[in-house]
Amino acid sequence: MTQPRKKADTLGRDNSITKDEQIIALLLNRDPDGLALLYDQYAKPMYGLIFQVLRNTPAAEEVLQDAMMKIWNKATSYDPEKGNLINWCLQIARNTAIDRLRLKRINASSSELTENLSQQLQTAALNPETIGVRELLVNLQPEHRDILELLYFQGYSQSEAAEALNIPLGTLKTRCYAAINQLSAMFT
Amino acid sequence: MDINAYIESGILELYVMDALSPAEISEVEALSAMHPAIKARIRNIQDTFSAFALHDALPPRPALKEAIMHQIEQTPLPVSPAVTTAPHSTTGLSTWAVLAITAMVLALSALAYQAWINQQARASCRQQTEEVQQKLNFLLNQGTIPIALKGTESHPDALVTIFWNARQGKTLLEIKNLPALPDELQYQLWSLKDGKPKSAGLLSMANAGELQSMLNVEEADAFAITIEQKGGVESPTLNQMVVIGKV
Repeated sequence: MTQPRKKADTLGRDNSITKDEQIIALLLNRDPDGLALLYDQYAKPMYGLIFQVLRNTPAAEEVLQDAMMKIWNKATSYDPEKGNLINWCLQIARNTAIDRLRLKRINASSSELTENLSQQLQTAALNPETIGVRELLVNLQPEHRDILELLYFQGYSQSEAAEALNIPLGTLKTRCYAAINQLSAMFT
Repeated sequence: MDINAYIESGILELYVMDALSPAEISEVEALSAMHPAIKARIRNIQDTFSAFALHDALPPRPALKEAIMHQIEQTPLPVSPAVTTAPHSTTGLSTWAVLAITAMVLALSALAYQAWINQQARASCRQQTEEVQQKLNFLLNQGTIPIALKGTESHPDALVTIFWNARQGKTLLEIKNLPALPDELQYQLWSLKDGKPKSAGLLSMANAGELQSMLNVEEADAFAITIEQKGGVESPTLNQMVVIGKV
């Protein structure tokens, strides 16, 4: 498996700040060059994340397109106080992908008529075939992996995730903290 | 307040993963504005996810960028103030003053117009989100059951799904497969209780891909759809039944 690169390198923060500022200034001016630059800079991690959520190329392409349109249309709502540009782009990419995933779940529920919906969600979420694929997650403790799988990649609310994993809400929260620490340690 | 305990509680991770209630989100944002340590931890979690995404970065098809750039060129730009010629001064004001006032009035109207457009767009967007949320809540409600209405002998491929909540009486309908009808005819949904039919509304073929809200149904042991005259009828034409399904 590929080893994660160092955080400072992957985020490229030092030399990308001015580029981010340039992108934002162009986007606020409704200059298409802003979106083209943003695309060159961040489309790959956005598409990677969307694909991790949806696991389907045509759907992932549509969602990337939708996410880019959202960025184009709501550039004014970007608040640097809440995080840097890549975090904002990834948040939009993930939200758009999760919305699509929820719609897919609704459609699946109408064809699987006899199945109880919550059971279905649970089975889909805990299916080892879908868990094993996120390469880096394999290195996490199983209980941390389940947490990130449900909350980050499947967009469960905290109570849905606690119910699916059959653990109290307090335990879910503590595991969240530990899961991120473990994941974060892989990049430092 | 014990900031470290708050940071270690796991709530900030849930915040970044968007898994909190609106009230909890406001709480985290208020505390983050007050305590740099909380803000720093949020950044740290976001950066961890960003590093994760960069590690799994995947190049999309090159044609996609072109498609997106083409799409934004089709999006209308915000209204910009129109250039007009100021009339000659006849009121004692200088030409410059008239120009300045005209420009200001134009700029203000453009701003007001833009604000109005934004407000309309937001209201419409909010309404759509609320509708989707309501439907989602309804589908996830434990009392809501899906019922497959399968094709009769004359229409073996027809298929419709009903989502019915007996306690609320609410009924949503999704057309999976129904043949198109001539203009003068329309599909009508019926609820059946002890063999007695009651109309549950007319189907819209224009919204075939969406979940349609039907009339409330208090009690039913089956649902069926018939082909009727446009506008519907009081009692079903049984030999025109297309699909039926038991609760």
